[in-house]
Amino acid sequence: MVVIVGAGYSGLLCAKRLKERGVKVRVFDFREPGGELLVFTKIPEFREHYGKFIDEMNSAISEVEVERGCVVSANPVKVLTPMGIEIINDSAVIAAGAVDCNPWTYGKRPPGVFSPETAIKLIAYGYSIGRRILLAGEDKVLDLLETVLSRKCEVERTKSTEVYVEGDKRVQSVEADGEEFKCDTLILFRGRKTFNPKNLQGELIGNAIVKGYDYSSVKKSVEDYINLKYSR
Amino acid sequence: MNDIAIIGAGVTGSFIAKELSKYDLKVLVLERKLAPGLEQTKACSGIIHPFQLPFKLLRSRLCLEGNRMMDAEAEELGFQFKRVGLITVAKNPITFLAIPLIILYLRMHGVRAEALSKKKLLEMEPNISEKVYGGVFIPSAGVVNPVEMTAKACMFAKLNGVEFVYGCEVVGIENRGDHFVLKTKKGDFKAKVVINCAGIYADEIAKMVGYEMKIIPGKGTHIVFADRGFTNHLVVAIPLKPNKRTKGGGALIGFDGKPLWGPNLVDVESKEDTSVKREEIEGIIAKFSPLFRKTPKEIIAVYAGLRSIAGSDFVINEPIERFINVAGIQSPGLTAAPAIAKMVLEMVSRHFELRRKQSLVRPVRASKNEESICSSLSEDEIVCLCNMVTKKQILEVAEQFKSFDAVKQITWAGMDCEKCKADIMKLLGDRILKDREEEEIAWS
Repeated sequence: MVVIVGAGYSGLLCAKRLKERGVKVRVFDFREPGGELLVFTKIPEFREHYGKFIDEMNSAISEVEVERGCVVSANPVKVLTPMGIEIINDSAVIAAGAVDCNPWTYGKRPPGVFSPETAIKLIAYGYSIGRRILLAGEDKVLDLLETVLSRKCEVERTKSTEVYVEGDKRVQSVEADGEEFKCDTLILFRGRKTFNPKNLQGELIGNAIVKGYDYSSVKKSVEDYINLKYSR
Repeated sequence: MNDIAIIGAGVTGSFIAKELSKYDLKVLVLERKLAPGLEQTKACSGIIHPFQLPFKLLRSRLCLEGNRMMDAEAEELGFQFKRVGLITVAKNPITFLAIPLIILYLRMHGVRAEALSKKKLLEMEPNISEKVYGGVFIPSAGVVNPVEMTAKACMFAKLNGVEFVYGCEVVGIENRGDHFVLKTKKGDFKAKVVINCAGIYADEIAKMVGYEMKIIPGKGTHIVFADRGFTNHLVVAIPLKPNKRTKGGGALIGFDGKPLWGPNLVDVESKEDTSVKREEIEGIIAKFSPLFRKTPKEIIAVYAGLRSIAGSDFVINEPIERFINVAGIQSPGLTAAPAIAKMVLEMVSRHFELRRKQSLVRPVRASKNEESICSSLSEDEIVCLCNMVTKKQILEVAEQFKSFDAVKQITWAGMDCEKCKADIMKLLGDRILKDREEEEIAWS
């Protein structure tokens, strides 16, 4: 049997493919299944952009049973569940996805500095995150965010991630590459990294190794893994 | 009429409040922020220092005393405290030769210290550079989450009858002979004795009763790295020549084990200047990375805090009858806080006949062990996986302090990564996020 940690796109797709090959799986997530794609479904531009993957994921959700539990170690797998601590003597596949690097800046630390990940979630939860927004960094997800935010806010862009922030109760201005931007919000993308807070040892798949917002690559990584490990 | 009013709920004011709450006194704490410990305290290094040089200073004595008290305080109040130990490293032959003298000197003052051979040192800290000569291990050094420590003192004080008013800046003080009237936007408060724990603004509070002193803000910048376990102890270099103004910072660790490098010391003009300069970050990395084989990989935060410096020592006095200054509490103020509280209790005893309360209310402690997390999961959920903080724990803190920053700093939820920040904001949304007049609109 294979224990899959994480019921986002990668974990669910992997579970589905393994089931198709007759491999027994158990999938755990500490939250409800769906991962960040579930968040993306709540923003029209993101829903459209990631539509294909969201559909694939939803079809996997209907076929795969997901258990609520927090995996705190692997080898053997140890899961905290409402029923108690469960130990499973099988190997773990880590599909816990990626997380944005912390958006630290020089200068002051007023409220109003977000990573794209936090910004996207807040928008999905129905909050407006600012009026004049500076997007800093380079990635397709920022292009998508710009489209979303431009509906209601003034948006400016800079490629630089080495930025100075001014402001006390809220961001007032941001200096990047010698240029000053007046804004109340900064969305800073410093890249993504594997989300693995318990430092679980096991095979990493999906966005845990891709570490990005490009789900074609995420999908390819899951399928490569399946083909390599479970080729028919 | 209050018996005692404490101005400021930083670590100093909070520990004094906690100590006074054990006696039959009517005590009030006024804090300009929305929760305790959100100014100087939150931006300090969180180090429980083993000693402070030179030993003749008041702050040295209170540091030693506070360090010895810390286990009992952590137990009583329920904050996390780990004696991780300090390794001070000889980087050159001269400081290496000084090691026996350093050990003798520390032991004379009651500080445990032992010599480390190069081999032993590298066993204890494999990331330390091969170029070092040896070192000294001082086991009594420790780490805390300074805001948790402060908030737990406030919670204890509150449970035992101390009244806290947050968002309440003192703008004027009238001396009415047998009592003081403290003027705030939330009204006037009367107290027989006033204790000035206003940190960086203590000089301005003192001026309100006609006492002149000067607090100079000394900025200290820190870097937090993601690589938990890079070092397991606090690591500093033995200085060739001690600097009278600062211990010089170090390659420290936070209470959660993440590398925390700094602080430096920069005198600044403004009492609000907590901005971090690129040169400072580069300077801190250049200063401490030669101690190691490699530099930690990923920076997750940089921050600066202010020390309130009034000369070389703490200023704990009563310049005007019934007005007590607890000012200039620079490093090692966090360590000294429990001892300062005892000292202030002594000073207060001149004015009141102190009667210890028959019984004290003890705070209930949240357990972080796995069984108790499991049993809570049926009605609760884990929000922050990095630090295993549940929804209920977050809401409990939010109930007491209407501040995002407080929730973050006290529970440590969302401090490590971006995964749950939005979820915590959503969780608190209806209570705090929509209150757009407050400063805590969102986290950075």
